[in-house]
Amino acid sequence: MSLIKVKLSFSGGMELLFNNIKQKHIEISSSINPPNATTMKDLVCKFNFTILIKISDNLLKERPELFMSGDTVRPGILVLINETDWELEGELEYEIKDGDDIVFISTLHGG
Amino acid sequence: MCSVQETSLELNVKTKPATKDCIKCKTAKATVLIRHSTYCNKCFQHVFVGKFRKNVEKSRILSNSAKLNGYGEKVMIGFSGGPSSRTMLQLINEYNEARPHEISKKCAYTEIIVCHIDESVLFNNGSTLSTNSKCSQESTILQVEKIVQKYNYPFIGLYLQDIFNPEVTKSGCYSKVLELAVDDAKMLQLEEDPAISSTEKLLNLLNNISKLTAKEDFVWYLKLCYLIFTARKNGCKRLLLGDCSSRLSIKIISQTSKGRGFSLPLETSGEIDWFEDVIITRPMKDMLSKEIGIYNQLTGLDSIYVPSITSMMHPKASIERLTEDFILRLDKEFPSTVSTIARTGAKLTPSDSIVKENRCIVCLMPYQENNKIWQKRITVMMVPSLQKSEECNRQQSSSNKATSYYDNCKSSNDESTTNVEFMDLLCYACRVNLNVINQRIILPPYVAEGVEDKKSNNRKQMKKQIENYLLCDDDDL
Repeated sequence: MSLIKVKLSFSGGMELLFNNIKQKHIEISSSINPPNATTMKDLVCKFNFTILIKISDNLLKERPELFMSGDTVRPGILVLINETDWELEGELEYEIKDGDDIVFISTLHGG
Repeated sequence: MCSVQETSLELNVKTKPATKDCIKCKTAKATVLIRHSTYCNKCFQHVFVGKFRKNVEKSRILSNSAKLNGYGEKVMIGFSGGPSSRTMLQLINEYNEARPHEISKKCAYTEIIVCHIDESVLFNNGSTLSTNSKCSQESTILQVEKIVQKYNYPFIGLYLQDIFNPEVTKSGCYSKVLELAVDDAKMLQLEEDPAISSTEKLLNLLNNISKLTAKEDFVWYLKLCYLIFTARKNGCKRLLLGDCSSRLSIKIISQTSKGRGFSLPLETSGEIDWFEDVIITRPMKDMLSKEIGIYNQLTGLDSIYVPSITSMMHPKASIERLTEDFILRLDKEFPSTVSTIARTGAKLTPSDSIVKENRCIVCLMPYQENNKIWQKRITVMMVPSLQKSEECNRQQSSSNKATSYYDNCKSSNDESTTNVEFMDLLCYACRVNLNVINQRIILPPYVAEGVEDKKSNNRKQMKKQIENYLLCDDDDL
């Protein structure tokens, strides 16, 4: 088991959920759920996400519905993995690799 | 989640493509999925810009053939700073700069003004609208100005509360405001009290509207009216708004739910001349919010975050917010939802019974003749059994207040025709909005001016009716 580096970016209002932090480099285990490789599901999963983003001032913990909807990211939030639409990368099934650049963009401002 | 199931609801749903090549150039690896089509970055941008240009060209050709004879026109961009209007600003700039070298030597638009309305007042100054004290927000004007400076266009930064400025009227100097009391729906024309700041007036108005739906609706129309008046004042023939197709489809459904079906075709169309001297164009009407998000990310366009009053709230906070949630969720499962609604909505044409004179004095949209009568017929304002018990009656005071509106309206029917009843001058939806006020409110000068106009119109009409019987024409009627 090793650590992988991931760059997370938030924009379009998403940053407000994360204490106004627009970019954050984090290190996560390459296998959060052994023996499987770490996927987007592991990253985005409600519990891991708040643990991973220690920076958020609990807003996300209190109001996970602003980010999550069921097991996945709320509709209206656009996710790009290395500048590629995550819907083409298998969404939650995507296996995160070292150096991945993941962007979350809120596209409509209701949420 | 990621595979769309075939259901009986939608027979044409294709499973998302397994191939990951761009469907356009068929060589590059696809990076973007828009509805059912995959594109590479280059082709995506090409298609995206193409859609925009098509819309702008269309509106230009229409107006050229009408009156301009090929000369460019002066336009105003309504720029919120959000992603969609950010893209619009950039694309309008590219279009206007690039064109002279292409088809003709003339610029499409001779002059472009960018106008921004700052809404931060809604979140500051102890407004009850802000849910979170941390949400208190700085003015957006500086941030927006920074963006606009990159383009060399004149910039107008306005504050929403200045809608109470006497200049924001047809005549440009109408200083009266309109006071509306709760219990008897009586209106008073007041000289503006300079002691009360515009901010207080606006907050008083919005804080006394108890429903978030109504509040949100109000803010939108105040903004729209302000933009129209500003465009007119600056001699702009066209107002460009950045509503994208996701936003429009949400509007189509929410406006219908709010009872704005009558004016819906005017409010969601890509090009409309309802405001006569200012044409509203929505060049972004065919772009999804997802496309805009990706385009801005790929091209590095920086937009600012403009919260709405229901931001960060529960999806059921208002009709608009609920509709947004509903449509986005549906669109996730059925990626054609937004475009189907938007295209169906685009087929709507304004009703033949729309008359230019019947303009709601608050939202400036048309109202249906006699809508008050059918509204009264279809609305239950009170549960009949409650009428008997006084105590219950007191609890139902809010609905009582509302009924008294109608009683008042009824009694006024017999009065002289020059007497204009405020409630008669509203469209159905604005009347519903104003039914939920808590205390007396002050409406901006442009509304007061609307009432005055209507009165003098009525007087003129009456004079016309009795013209033949008048002995002396220069009576001071």
